[in-house]
Amino acid sequence: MKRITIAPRENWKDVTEKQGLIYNTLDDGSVYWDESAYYEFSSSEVDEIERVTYVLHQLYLDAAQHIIDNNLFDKLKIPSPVIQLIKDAWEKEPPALYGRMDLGYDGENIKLLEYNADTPTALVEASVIQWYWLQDRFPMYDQFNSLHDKLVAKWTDLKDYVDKTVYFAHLDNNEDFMTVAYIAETAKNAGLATKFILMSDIGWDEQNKYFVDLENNHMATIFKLYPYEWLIHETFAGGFVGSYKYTEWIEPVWKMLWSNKAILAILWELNPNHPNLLPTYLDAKKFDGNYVKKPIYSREGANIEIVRDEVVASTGGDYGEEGFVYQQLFELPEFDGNYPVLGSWMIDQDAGGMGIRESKSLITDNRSRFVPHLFK
Amino acid sequence: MKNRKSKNIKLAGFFGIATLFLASCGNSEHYRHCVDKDGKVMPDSLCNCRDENNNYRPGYGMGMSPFMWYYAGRSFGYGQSVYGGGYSPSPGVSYSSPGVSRGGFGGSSEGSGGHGGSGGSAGE
Repeated sequence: MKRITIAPRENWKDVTEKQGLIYNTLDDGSVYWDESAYYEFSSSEVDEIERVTYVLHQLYLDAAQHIIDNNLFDKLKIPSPVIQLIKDAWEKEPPALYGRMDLGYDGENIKLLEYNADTPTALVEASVIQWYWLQDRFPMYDQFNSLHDKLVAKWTDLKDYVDKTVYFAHLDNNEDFMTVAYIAETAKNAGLATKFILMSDIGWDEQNKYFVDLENNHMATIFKLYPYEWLIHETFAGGFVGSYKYTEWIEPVWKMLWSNKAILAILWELNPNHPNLLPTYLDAKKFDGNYVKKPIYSREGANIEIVRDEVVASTGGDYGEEGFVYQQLFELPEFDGNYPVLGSWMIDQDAGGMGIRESKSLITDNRSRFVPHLFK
Repeated sequence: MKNRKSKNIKLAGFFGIATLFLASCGNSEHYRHCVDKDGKVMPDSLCNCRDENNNYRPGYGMGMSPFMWYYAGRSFGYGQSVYGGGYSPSPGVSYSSPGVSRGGFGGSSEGSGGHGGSGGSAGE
C-alpha cells in the first residue's frame, strides 16, 4: 500500500457535487472528499483484503449464533423486548443489505477494528465518487469496487421477498439523505418502486397496528438509515416490536448483534489469537495499560479513548452509558501524518469493495477525509 | 484476475435528486378513511388493494373489493357513516387517518455528528 500525492482535478468540487457528494466539504470549509492523494495497492494486497473480509464475515456469523445459543444478550445490553425479535429474525433470515468493516492495515497485518453493520455511510463516495474519479484520472487501472453492481444484484434477489414499494427512512441531513437516495437508486435499477420519508414523519396507525407513510399507506418494507439502539428506545418502540412481523425492516433487527461493539470481545473469546482480530475484552484490567476504549454503542468515532498508560487521545460525545469494550491498540500506518482506515464493504454475503478514510489522528471520526484508491 | 469494478453505473435519477433535497410535509387536518359500500368506516387494511384514487393496485385483482378510500375535512370513528367528503383526494392536500400519530421516531439524533447539513447524522 502506497500513498501518492497528486494535484486534485480543478473542478473536483463541482464534479463530485453533481455526482451526488453534496457533502464534499465539512462545515468549516475543509475537504471531506480528498483527492489530493490516493492509495495504490497491488492486486495481491486487494486479494488479501477481500479474503480477510470473507473470513471475518464468517466469524461474525458464528459469533451471532453463539450469542443466540447461549443467551448472551445481556453482554450486549440488548433490552429484553427485542430479544425474541432478534432470535426470530435470525432464524427467518429476512433481507439484509450491507455493512462496512473498518480494518487496520499496515501492509502486512489486517486487523478488524469494528463492523458498522446497521447504518454504515460513506457509501456514495466508495461506490460512485471514487469510481468516477478512477475513470477520470486512471482508467487504465482497477479499483476494489463493484458495490454498485452488487447492490443492484442484491435488490434484484430481494424482489420476491419485499413489498413492491420500498420506503427509505432517514433523518433530515445531506449525508443521510444522499446515502438513502443512492441506495434507493440501486433498488430502482432492480425494478423496485421507492419512496422517501423522514423518520419523524413515519406514522403509527393505532387502528391497524402498523406503520404508515404520509398518505397513511401501510409501509410493508422499510429501509432505515437509523440505528436500532435509538429506534428501540423511542415512542414508537412498542409499535415496532408489536408489528415487526408485518414489516420488513432493512437492515433486519438481528443486525443489533453485529453492530454492537461488545461482539468484538465475544469474537476474541471464540477465536483467541486469530490473525485478523485484536484482543478485545469487556474489562480494561486485561491489558497492561495500553488499549483503546470504545463505547459498545457509539457512532462516528465518538467517546473513544486511546490509552498508553494514560489517555493520549480522546473524542467527545454522549455515548458510554451502556458500557465499553477495551481493544488492543493497532498501530495504523502513518503516511506524512495521515492515518488510513480501510472500510471493506459487504453487500449481504459478498465482499463488494473498499473505501478509505484518513485522519490526522489515530481516531477515525466523522471529520476524517475520504481518499480514493486504485490497484494495479 | 477477478473483475472487481462496477461495469456501468446508471444514476440518472440520483444525479437529479442531489439538487432536490426535499423535506417532507407535516400533518394536516384532512382525513382519509376506509369505508364499506354503505359508507361506514372500516379498518384501513381492507383498502390496501386500492391506491389513493381508488384504482386497484397491481396484483390485487379487479373489481372484487367493496371497500374504498373516502376523503373528508373531518374525522369519523370506526363504524360511523361518513359524509361531507368524496372518494377522490383534493390535489395538494395531505390526508391523515384518525388513528395515526407521528413523531415517534427520529428524536434520538439531537446532538449527533455528521459531515454537515441541517441535522445530526444517523450513519457512521
